[in-house]
Amino acid sequence: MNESADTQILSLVQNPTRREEGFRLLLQKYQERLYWHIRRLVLDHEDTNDVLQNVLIKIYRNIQKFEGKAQLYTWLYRIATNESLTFLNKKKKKLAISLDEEVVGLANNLVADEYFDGAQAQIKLQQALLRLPEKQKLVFSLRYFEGLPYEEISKILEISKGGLKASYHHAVKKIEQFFKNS
Amino acid sequence: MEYKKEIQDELSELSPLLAKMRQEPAGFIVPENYFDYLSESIMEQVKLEPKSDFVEPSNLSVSQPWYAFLFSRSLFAGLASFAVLLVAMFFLLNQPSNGNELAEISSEEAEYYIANHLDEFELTLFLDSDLLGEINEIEFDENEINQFLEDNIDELDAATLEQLL
Repeated sequence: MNESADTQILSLVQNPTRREEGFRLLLQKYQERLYWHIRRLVLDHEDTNDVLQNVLIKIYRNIQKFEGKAQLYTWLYRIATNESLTFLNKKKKKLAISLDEEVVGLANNLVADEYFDGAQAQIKLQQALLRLPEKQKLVFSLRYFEGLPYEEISKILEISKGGLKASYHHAVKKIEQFFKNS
Repeated sequence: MEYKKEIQDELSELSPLLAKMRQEPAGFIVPENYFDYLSESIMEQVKLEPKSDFVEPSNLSVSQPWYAFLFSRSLFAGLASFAVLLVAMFFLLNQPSNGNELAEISSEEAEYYIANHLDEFELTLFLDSDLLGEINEIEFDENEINQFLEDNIDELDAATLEQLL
């Protein structure tokens, strides 16, 4: 992560006269990464678009409160993760469905999604991910897809490094088992 | 980056299958020019957001004037808390007294209070009190009674006067 670019973004967004200029830089640097992080959690492009727009507006409204204790992208990922989980929980409650129904529904949606063109193995991987507990799914997604080190994931999810390693290893083993069984 | 290699090595050890799959595209697609449209749409939305002039104290830099703190949210929050504390203290100190507080008042203080607020008491309240007994025990001198009547003759109606005599 380019920290000097983050420093420049922060100094601009915290200056009332140059706030929009700074926010545009932030979008250029982070909107795509945040999109992919959300997309891997909610899967559907339209849902991702809704969540991402909420996330970006929330960031704009709250960035003046950012104290710089964590790195900027850690703070952004945390907002995106929380919004995605809130969205998924609301959707689950709205549809009043069980975990199994949710897994089957999301997997079917993925196959029918015009914005998904994955090989059979990738569809299976997503189906396996849908069956993981929330924490394991988040840790796996941040490490496997985003390629983040444990230190950063620990800051984003506020979980100890030891706990993260255990969650990641469990997740990998469960996914592999799913492939063997299906 | 070294940690990217570390992640791939760790995965190869845990699951060669997933390590191989990680190299392939995941299959998610985004509409063409989506990110350009997204930036513009978000920038349009933020232009409609209310402008905030507040500056967080933690973000104050050396180049900002010292009086910038006067406009900070923390100062306003502090003043608001102080005002709430004052109001709470006012209500606490002005709560109606209970029996325990009354028990701490000496009989001298009670007599002094009653003497100064006699008009506020209903006469019937005294009927059940010990005061009535004390009044009956007082021996009035005849000269004092006459003097009292003389001083207050104008304020007494005929019926009361007849009763006293």
